[in-house]
Amino acid sequence: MRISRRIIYLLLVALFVALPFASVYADDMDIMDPATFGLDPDKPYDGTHLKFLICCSTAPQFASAAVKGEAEFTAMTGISVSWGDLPFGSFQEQLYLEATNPNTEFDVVAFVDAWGTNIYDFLHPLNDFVEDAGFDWDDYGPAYQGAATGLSDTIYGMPFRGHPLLLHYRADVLEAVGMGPPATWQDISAIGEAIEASGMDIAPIAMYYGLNVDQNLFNWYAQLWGAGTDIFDENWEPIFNNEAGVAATEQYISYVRDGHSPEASVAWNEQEANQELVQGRAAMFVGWWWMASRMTNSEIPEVAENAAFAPAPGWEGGETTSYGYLWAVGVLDQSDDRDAALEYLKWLTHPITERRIVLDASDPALDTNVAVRLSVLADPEVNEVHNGLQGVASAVLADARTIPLIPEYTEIVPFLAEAINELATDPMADTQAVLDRTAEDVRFVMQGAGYYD
Amino acid sequence: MRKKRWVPWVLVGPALLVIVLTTIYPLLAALYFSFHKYNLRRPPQFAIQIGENGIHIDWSLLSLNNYTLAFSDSRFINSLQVTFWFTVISVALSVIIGLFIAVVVQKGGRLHTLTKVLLIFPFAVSPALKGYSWRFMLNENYGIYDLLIDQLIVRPINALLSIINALPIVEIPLISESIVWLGDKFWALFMLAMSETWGWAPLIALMFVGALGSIDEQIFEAARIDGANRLQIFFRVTLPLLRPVILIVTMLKTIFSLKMFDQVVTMTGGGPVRATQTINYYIHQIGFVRSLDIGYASAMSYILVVVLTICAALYVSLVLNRD
Repeated sequence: MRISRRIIYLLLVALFVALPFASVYADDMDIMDPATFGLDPDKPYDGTHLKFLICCSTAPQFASAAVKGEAEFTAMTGISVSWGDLPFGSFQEQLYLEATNPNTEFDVVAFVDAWGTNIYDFLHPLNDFVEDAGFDWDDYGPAYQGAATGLSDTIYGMPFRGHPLLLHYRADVLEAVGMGPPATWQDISAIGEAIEASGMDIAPIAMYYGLNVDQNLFNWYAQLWGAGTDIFDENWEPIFNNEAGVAATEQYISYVRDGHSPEASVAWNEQEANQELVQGRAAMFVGWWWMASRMTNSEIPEVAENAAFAPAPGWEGGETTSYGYLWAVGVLDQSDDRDAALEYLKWLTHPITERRIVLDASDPALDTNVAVRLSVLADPEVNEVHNGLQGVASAVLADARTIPLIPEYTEIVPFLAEAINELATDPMADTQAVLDRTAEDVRFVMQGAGYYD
Repeated sequence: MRKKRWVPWVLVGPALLVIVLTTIYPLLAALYFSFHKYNLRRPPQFAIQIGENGIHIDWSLLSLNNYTLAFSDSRFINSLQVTFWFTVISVALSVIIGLFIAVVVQKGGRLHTLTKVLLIFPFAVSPALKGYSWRFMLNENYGIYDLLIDQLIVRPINALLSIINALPIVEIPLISESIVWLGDKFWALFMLAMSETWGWAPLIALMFVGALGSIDEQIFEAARIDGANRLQIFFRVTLPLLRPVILIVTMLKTIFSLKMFDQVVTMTGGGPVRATQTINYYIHQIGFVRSLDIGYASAMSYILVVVLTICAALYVSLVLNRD
């Protein structure tokens, strides 16, 4: 039987056209195969219903995992998972109440690094889980590893969503004054002076010094660490009021005192400061990388077209370091369905799941750049989809740190946040005096907790 | 016909059960916790212990430490002061503005009826949402209140001051046109009170409208025949007749102001520094957000209860004596 050349050509064309679909199909087959994620193919937990305590589940960085879990994880295991959707403002309180409640209905909980310290005793250690699942713990940067383990070697939560601090800036404004993105916090002051001298009607930077869930400390940590000091020394004595600490704090406050950041920034939270950038009233903003899409999606063409991102600045002559903020996900010890919950964690924190989530730009409601694994952050395909944002994040995370993960830190944070707020709102406040007074308050808490016995 | 004594108990039983479970039990539990060192981070050790040998009371676990701690805690003292000033400002503004609105809308007519209906809306807004809205409206870039205050108050006053300053008599500093409302200790507290007034003044106005409507028109007529002008009628006739309602409204608003919490969370976060940290906000921070110290939070709550009880007793006795 002879096959005409035309038919052979047609078959070849058809094969060529079908190949990508075949690849997608194969991909789909893989992600629906329990073996891909190390899940038990016998569905031993079929019919189990898990409750996941998490905030803001409609935010793109979380929403995609919820949607995919419903479609894929449940089909593979028979385990259904319902996500709680609490507003961020009330989540911390609910987390503590549920985690400490022996009769809680929740099995899986998401928690922010500092909050985790208060519920470590109620979380199931995950060291064996990591080993059994074959996960590479070194696939997470040091800041995330630290935030998930606290001061011990026990893994209390799997890194789920994490955020490095990036400089979000207007390339056109900086170019207009002949300067590149600032490498140090001191450079920001220099750029601020240049922008003001140019007469451009734009604030050089939008800072956030307001009292709002302690957000005014995020960038302060970076300057404190960069200047070579810390919150505590090795004996848990407060040292943020030493010479380097005062210098770092004065630099941090200088942006509003020198007029580089609008006067109103003394009351702004992170979102309000970011709006200044997105609405074209500020040229720079240092904040979490998940906010990057707000600038690139700005309705103001000059903002969207000139959106640029760089690592958060470092300290002139000192370290370049910043705070790596982590959402971890853990399993409650008192859960009746702990094994099913661990099965879910296996899928939820699997590198394939993470990669698929960050590659999925099909729906704006699910479109997110947030990944935590170094392998995913280094993935060329992921970087191509997000214009190299993950590469920038990787660079920041290499030097990022976490905050002191002791239970008392949640008591200490308000003292620090109020000190920063006082220095920002009162131009006459003396930095050394305010920090000294705050250090006394911090010491009082630590003494009460027995750190100096 | 024989009376069935159990019928009333069956009828009120469900309501009593709800009150016991949602009010009496939490009140007693909080009192019990307040005498203990009870932190959510650690398993609690309560004085009353139920074991295999029955109930045992360990008196050594009971103490007044939480109460003594409160009086040496500068933050708690600060929250008492903030709550006091917040209550004074918000009660005064709500009652005065409410009375003003009532006098304006009390007369009949279709427009007045519509206005009365609309007055209920601000009170219907949830307190948390009220806080977010006010934060937004006070924003110096796109906030409507900031714009109105600037255009209608600050600029006219500054224009007047400029004219005065042009005379070689006195030099009065102009008002800053860029007040950061939530970044200034006084203005943040004042605006927090305003957000409360915004919701409450219309409701209070409706109460006054009802009270005004119940006053016999002949009394006003008699005053007019006696030659009283409008101001005299208002201060000498209307206000004295409204006194019972004013007292009730003031008491009601005082109780609600002392409980201020939601707007602090969503509008100011307790700041700037600690300028808007009310007692309830501070108790919430200690109990559920920062220290997780339920024992101390309960003790502070009971101190508030005692303060409220004393205030209420003084207030009621004052009202009764005057009457």
